[in-house]
Amino acid sequence: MSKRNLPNMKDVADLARVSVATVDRVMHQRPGVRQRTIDRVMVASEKLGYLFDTANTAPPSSNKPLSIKFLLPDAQNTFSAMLLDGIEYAQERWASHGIQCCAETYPDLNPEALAQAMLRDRQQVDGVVMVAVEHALVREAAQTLADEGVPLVCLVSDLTGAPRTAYVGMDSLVCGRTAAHMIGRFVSGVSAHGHAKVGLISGSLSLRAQVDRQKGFMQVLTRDFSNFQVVGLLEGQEQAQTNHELALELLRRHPDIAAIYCMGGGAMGVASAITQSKLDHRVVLIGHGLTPVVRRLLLDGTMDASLYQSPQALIDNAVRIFINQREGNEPTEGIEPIRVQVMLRENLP
Amino acid sequence: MAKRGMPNMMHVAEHARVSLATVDRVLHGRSSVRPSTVARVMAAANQLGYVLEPTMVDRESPTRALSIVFLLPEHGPGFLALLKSVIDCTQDRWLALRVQCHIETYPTANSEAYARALLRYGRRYNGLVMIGVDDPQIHEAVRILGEEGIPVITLSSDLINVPRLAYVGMDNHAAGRTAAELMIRLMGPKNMHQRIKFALAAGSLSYRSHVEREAGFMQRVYEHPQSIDVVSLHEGRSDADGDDRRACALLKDHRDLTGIYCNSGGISAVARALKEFKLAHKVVVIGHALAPETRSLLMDGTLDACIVESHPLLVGNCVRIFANWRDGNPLTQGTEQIRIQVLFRENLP
Repeated sequence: MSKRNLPNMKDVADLARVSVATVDRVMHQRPGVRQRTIDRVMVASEKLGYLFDTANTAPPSSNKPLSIKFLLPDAQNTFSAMLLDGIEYAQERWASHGIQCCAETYPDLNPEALAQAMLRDRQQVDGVVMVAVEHALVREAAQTLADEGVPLVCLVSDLTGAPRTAYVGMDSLVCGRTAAHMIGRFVSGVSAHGHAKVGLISGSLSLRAQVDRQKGFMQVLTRDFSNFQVVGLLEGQEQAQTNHELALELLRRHPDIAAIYCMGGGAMGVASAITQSKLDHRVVLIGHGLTPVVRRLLLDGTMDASLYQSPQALIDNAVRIFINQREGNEPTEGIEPIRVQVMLRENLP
Repeated sequence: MAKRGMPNMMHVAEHARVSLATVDRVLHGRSSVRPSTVARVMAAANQLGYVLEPTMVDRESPTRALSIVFLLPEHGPGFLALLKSVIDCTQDRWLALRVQCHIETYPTANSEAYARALLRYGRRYNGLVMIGVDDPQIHEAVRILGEEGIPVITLSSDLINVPRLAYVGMDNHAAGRTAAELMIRLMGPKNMHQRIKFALAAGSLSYRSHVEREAGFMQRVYEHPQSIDVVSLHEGRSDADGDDRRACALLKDHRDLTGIYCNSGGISAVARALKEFKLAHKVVVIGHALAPETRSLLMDGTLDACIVESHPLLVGNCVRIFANWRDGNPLTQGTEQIRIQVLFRENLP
């Protein structure tokens, strides 16, 4: 107890075995705290005779500043770099709404590093946005954030079986299905009975987005193009160099391959392997994203289509979710879901 | 309510539980009012159907509330109904920008009535959004509005050489090119000796958007290394029977069609004819605009791909451009590029 013998927030937090930030959230009736936790805080404050004065319990001002932490895979990944740009821009765009964004990266999709970053300084942030790695440590950290009432948004890749406020990103099953539909049609035209070989090169399978893309792809391929055969599912870790080596080997063993779906980043490596094998314009290549390299590959015809989600829309949607929470709305109220956009040479934005 | 049954500022004040002076300040942007109060007052005005009269609006005030109108055809293709519902649903979102949205309609297929409606509603509101129709009477009406200082935005189909504030919509020439690209890809590989024949089912030439799509389509078709024949089918004066007759005649004369591009929203007649001639799923069909009908045709496979633009973005860009115009900001500040979106069955939202 403090020296004046009057209980303060710290005392309530200690007795309720929660952080001061959580007591603060309960006091200010901010959303995102579980009922069980609210009850515990209320019981503790009652026991200590801690009074929530009226100034404290007034409804939150709609301009209360929010500090949001973004956690992204390290920036040598071009997509991460584009997201970082988006965060910088969001910082300006949402400053008048009292939004403060900061971004950190974690190395090599390392779950331990991500879990630590999620929990670090959690008393100082009002929300966490992360590209989730599927791992028990990450789920555990998500549970801790939920217990303490820190809202969590998964960006681009979701986290299975853990509490989170929302997922912001394309539906990855839809991505895979759309890619299979395009490959099937581009290769066989209106008759779906042609025989063909297809290669799949994924990023890291510890990202749920990659697993879902693969599932969606197989769903449509086996249903609508049953004479297509998948030769090799290779994991390229989004690295252009690894992708290049994997694709070269794939093309050497199957020179008659009709199409490749590159589910993660680093499509450049696959494209260069196709060119090196002198198969350009004969292998249909579908990729992801719209980095400068992808634009170039679409324009020169090495890549046939790319599935795209706007980095700016991703960041804006994540920020809007926290603003909705602050204002007591449903998390996704008024937010346009992220669509799977098909980019061809002709409709490049 | 006042005796004429029309709500006045007093009603708005009561409904929003603020003083008359505050309503006055919000509507005329005289001094700073808290954003939450602005939203409450604007919401009350909206709920009561209180229309801001241009005469009441202080033209000198940089942050006055604007009352804008979307002038849409009374009867039109299905996408118009969707657009109307988007305007309705998103109204509240624009109140924070002090923009109140309204919808008015004009009798379809009569340019004289359209021109009259343009003048009538343009003068009644602070800004007008219209779908451009190339007709001397329409051009004249937009010129008159321009002289009177009333800002006009063209939506989806542009007008040139008239004093419009901005065009909001996709690049229709690129959309036509995208359609050709898709058709060439979706027909599958063809050997050099196979004849390829496309049909262009063109919508009314009164819309610049249709003309531009046609030009873009033809341009991309001529770039293809193999020679492609294109036959065209021009829509008549919106009589359904005539459209059916023409579509059937087209399929009877050209049983060897590879693909059909419907460059306007209308696709019913072509779809019926394809089914009648048992050619659905054998001919590649590309259409425009998402409506209940195009959805179900995508689902049953008659339509292979549909090119669309995002309705919420269309509406949001119009609102933001008017707000920027009022505030003296660069017109496109905060707006987003309207993308050419490609929808297959698999990535239908």
